[in-house]
Amino acid sequence: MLRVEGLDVQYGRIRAVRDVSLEVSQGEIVGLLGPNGAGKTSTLGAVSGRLPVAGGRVLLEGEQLDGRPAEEIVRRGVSLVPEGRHVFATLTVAENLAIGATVRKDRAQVAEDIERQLERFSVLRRYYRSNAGKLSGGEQQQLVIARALLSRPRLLLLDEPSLGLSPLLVDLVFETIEQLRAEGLTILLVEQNASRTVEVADRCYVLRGGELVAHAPRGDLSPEELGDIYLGAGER
Amino acid sequence: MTTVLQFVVDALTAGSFYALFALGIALIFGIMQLVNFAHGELIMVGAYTIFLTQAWPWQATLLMAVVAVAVMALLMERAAFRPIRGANPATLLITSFAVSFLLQNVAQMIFTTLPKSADVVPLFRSSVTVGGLTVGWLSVVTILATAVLLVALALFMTRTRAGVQMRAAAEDFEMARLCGVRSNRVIASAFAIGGLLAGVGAILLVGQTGGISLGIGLTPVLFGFTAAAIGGLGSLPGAVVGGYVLGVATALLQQLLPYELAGYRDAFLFAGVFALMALRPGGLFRVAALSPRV
Amino acid sequence: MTTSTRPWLRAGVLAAVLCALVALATLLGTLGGPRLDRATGIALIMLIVVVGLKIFVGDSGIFSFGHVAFMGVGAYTTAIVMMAPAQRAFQLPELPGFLADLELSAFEAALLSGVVAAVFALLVSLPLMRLSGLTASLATVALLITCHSVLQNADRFTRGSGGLILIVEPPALLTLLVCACVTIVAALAFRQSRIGLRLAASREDEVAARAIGVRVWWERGIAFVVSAFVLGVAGSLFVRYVGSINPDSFFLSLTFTAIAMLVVGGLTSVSGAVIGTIVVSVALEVLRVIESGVTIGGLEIPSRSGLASVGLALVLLGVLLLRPAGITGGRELSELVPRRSRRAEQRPAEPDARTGPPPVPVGAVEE
Repeated sequence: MLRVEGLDVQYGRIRAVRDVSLEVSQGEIVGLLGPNGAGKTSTLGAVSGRLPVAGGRVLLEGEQLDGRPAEEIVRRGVSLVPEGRHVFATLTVAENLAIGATVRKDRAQVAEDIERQLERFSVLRRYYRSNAGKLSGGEQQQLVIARALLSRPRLLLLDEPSLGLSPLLVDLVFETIEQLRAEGLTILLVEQNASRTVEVADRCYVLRGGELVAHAPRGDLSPEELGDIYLGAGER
Repeated sequence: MTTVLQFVVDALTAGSFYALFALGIALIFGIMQLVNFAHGELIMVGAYTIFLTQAWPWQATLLMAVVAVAVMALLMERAAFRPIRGANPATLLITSFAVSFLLQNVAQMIFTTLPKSADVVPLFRSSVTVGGLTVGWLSVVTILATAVLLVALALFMTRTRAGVQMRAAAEDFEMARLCGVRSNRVIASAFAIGGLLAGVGAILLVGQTGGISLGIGLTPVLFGFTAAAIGGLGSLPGAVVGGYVLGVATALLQQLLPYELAGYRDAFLFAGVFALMALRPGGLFRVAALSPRV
Repeated sequence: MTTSTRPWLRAGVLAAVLCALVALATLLGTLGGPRLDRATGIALIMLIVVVGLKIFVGDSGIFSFGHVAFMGVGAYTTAIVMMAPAQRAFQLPELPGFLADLELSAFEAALLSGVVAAVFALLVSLPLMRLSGLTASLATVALLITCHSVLQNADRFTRGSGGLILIVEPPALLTLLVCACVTIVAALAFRQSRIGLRLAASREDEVAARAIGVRVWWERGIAFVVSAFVLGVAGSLFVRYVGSINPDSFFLSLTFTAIAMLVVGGLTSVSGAVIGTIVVSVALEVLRVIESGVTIGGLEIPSRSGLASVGLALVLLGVLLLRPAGITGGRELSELVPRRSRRAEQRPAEPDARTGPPPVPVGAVEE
């Protein structure tokens, strides 16, 4: 479904991602692992159109995504949940969800979809008319995932969805990810919680220093190997 | 009693003016971090449109003024601000300064520096006396028109999809784009609305003085900018409140300053703004939910 | 901290080159008759203004719209203290006694103007230097308007919007040239000084600079006061040169011209300030000739006031859109000449207006 070929991403003079190629198939959950500064977020940024692609190609079912602005990429079915819970704090929960459905034309079904997300994340119903800024961190994370789902993406990009959440909420996030897979959604997941990611993901890619250093199907990465990846030891 | 009422009317009239201009500036700033100095030249365009079309029926003149200003606002966005979108705020400010200077001097080439006059709606010059209180019709129209526009804008911002998108973009432009909000459209809408507000402001301003000059937009834009700064740049409710606070402040200074110091009114105001920015850069009424998250 | 002499040597060579460039431009300016002489004189004064502005703006990264106010303060100071007593009694009859009989020499007046402007800047800088980025820039706009309004109303000292007339021997072109060169040298020296280096570091990365002990507000404050002093002296030269001033002389139009010169040249380098001033001055002079009505190859262009300003605005817009870092790209001439090939490779890539780092390094960090 998603094909990234020889991707380069640059911040001014600094190259954050160098010649990264990866693939995500329909219905898969693919993890993207690596230490801080490995280029995970930059990769998602380039796929979602948030960052310009300096080299290489990004294809979604054969259609070129690179070079298109973010607002067009989300129209083609790729939705990013960025790191850091970017809710619109001065907008109500209801308005946040409505913004999530900006790209949709089927008005009637949007209302249905909102209802479904409120079932899934029941806390959002309680604060439906409150400003999103009043929600707690965990609640905001649920809101941004719900908001991203409202664009009815084919591919969901999740950046550190469990970062800074309590263990209970981390469980909720990973349960949600499982649930979404069951519903047939394709997910590219960046996580610092590597062990949980390895459990849930069909396959994992490992980035370090902006380059792809490993690719492993489920179960192929032992916890020890993961430790090595994060500590930067054990070159492959 | 009458003096108090007179004061209230004066403060409200001035405040309405400032709120109109402040809103236009805050709207654009919120969305693209641009302090649009050329907002003053939008007012100028409105004023000269009135001058050119004053032979028309007054309804047509006023409509034309508003339309011309909105079109000019869109042109400005397309030609000058879109190409440098995303540059840092100081570069944007310099650009708007250049646009302002450009438009003003183009107008000078066309209309020369000689002031013009226009008398669009004669009603504006007459006044009504209610129980010993004499109020100019222009004050009434200014206060009412501003109130109507504020309500309409508030409804637009909260009840329509475009309005909600605009608020989202003002808060976090990049996230709004990731949600599919089209940046060109939302910015153009903001400029169109800003132009509309400037157009109405121009009508009221010409109605007030009857005079039209190249610098007609300078004072309004400075006061509008001041009001927006008082309210915390970029916040729409803040801009409105800032406008009325500034209206009360000018009316108060007018009343309280001794005669020798009356000329220093603006100096006091802007020195006050300077102090305000230094002491409370987020505006006078920083609302926690409105302040940017880090 | 060990101080290598090498940067100073390079700065010295650069100063010599820039001064030679200015001298050459001045020489060319004197070849065209009295009208061009005058334009050359104004251009030299603008050079002092723009280089003075660069001392603060270029190194602090905070764009100031208020510096022309310091020039105004300097100009009014000189006008008041140099005026012949009879003139003073006529123009400013209500002046306090201690000023009424004063008659300073040109040099004393220039020095005093610089000091008054610097002291004023010092007072202003106490609140101002707490700010960063756009807020600081906007505060300087408020400062400019406040000063303009005060100049208009302080009739006792300024004769209000009527302005003042100062009839003295105008400074010779050579004097202006020397002053311009001294300013260039001073700006380069300031940039090489400890404070200048620290300030430039804070422009690149305010947080990092603070982390290594740069106080930022202190360095900024010094640069602000130094540049105000230069502007004050420029004001003094200006009023002697043109002979009459009013509050509008030091308002938006002059601010715009100075900003255009600095931005067109590239605002983070002295070379940029110098080249920008020369280019814009020449362009303005050409435009003014056209503005007053000329016939080019049988085509008659009628006189149109405002045309020169339109041209200037278009030039500035063009630079902002196409080359936001200015003609020099914000670098000194000495950096533009590659001396070793490896150096050349490491030169930063051209910043891109949309995606790259901010084209004009202003307001590195928002409050």
